[in-house]
Amino acid sequence: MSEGNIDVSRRGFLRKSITAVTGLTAFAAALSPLKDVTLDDVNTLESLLQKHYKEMNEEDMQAALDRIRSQVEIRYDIRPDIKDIKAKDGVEFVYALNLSRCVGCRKCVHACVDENNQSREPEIQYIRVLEMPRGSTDIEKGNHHYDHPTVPDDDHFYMPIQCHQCKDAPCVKVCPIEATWTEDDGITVIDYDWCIGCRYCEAACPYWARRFNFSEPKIKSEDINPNMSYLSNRPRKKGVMEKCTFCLHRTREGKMPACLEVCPVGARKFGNILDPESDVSKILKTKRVFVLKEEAGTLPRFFYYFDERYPRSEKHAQLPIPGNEGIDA
Amino acid sequence: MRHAQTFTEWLPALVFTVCAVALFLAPTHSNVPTTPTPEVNPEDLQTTAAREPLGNPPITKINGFDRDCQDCHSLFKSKQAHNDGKLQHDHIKLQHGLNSDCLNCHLEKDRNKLRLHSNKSVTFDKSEMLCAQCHGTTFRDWKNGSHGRVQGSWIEHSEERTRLTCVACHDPHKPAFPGIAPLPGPQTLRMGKPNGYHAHYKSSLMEWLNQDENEEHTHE
Repeated sequence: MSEGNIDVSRRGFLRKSITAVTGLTAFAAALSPLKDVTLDDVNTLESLLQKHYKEMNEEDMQAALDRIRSQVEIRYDIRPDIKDIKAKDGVEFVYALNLSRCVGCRKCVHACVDENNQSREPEIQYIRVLEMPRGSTDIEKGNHHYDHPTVPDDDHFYMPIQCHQCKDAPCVKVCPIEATWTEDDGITVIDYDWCIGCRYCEAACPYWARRFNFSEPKIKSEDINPNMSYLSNRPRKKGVMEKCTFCLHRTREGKMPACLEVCPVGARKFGNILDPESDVSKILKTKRVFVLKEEAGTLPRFFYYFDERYPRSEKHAQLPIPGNEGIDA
Repeated sequence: MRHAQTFTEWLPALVFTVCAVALFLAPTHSNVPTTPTPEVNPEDLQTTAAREPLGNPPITKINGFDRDCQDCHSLFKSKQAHNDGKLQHDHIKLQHGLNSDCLNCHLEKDRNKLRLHSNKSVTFDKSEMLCAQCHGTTFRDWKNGSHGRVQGSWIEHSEERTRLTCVACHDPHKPAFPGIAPLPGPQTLRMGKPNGYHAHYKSSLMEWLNQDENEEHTHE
């Protein structure tokens, strides 16, 4: 065609330049997601080289806590009190919830958000409260968006659902990198530095108890709870899972979970099932107790129970008792 | 022939170019709305009990002096035992089911005390013993820890642990727990219709499908 191997024809020039432009555009397109990368998204070398939680010794943990402390200070301009609290021997936490007493006021939902530094936008909440028609525990019939002037409504009962801290937890089994596991005191935890955000656990959970940070969580500095622990309420990043940890930073120090403290009707009960004198042990022995989706075989540590009691409203007091129809009063 | 060959050579390059430009210009963020959590008044998240009992014995301020019940009732042997037509204490509207006599619970001889069915008496700080006479199952549940508020610590015998009594939540003259206004519901996308994903996000495909459905309905 021409001298040497150099194609100097007009056609050859056009062909090569179009190829070059195509290649450059494709390269730019491939890199275009980097437009949205901020400094927050870049991992520090320490966090990249950090060991798995179970392999960390005290020194490693101290270094990790120092790193998190400074990150929180930069991001939220407050100095957090962050610890790593280990599980105590002879303790296994169990939660019990009285469906006859719950009025559906949603105070637990918002107390939990405040305590555990959940994202306010987009909204992340660990507890959801379902308004259920009487006579059914089919949660498909539940409504999240009830909006009465006052609760409880006479024709419904209320069923709060949060992480059930299962003994045979499906979420733990599906995690490909062991970023989530069940601790000795029965609490299933997540190492937010180890999670890769594959969301397998979210899909595996039959209670929809796990939440994913689809975008950078937004919390105002004044709303941050500075009492933090490594495995529970330290601030999360975009792209990691989070869930209820029975307020591990409170309960491992003897306190009650935030959702229980705020419950105005005392429907929530919490304690150590290995202690036969504890409230939860007595409830499991003396009350009618059930677990949600028992057929899933997850062995939850979260129990629902109800009271033998007269109806909540006058209206239902007038209705015949099932099985007693036709009997004169 | 030569033209056709050139075209097939350039076709992949053209397709790639178009794809690359489209990818580059496409938004990397989805436009699904994320409604923020509504602000909640911190007063709504108080962990204190619903009410404060008057004390043992209840003290009232009269003309600047602290008086207990017996200070007056040792002078005024009021026999008015019924709910209606009270001359004093008329702010108390007794709404306790069939229990409509003041002296069912208040001891006539010593108004600083409460009366049991057995005509024995209990002090105000042991009022749960009085409630237990009628509400036996609830009292049993309260003792077993399945009724009522237990706060502070889950550790038995911990000093921080408090077990609230009946009158910390229930007004003995009107014991039914009043209805309360619920806090704002979820905005989370996956929680279904009213404020979430399905209400705001309308893809043209979904609109087209729904339109089809609506038309079918009108035909019927």
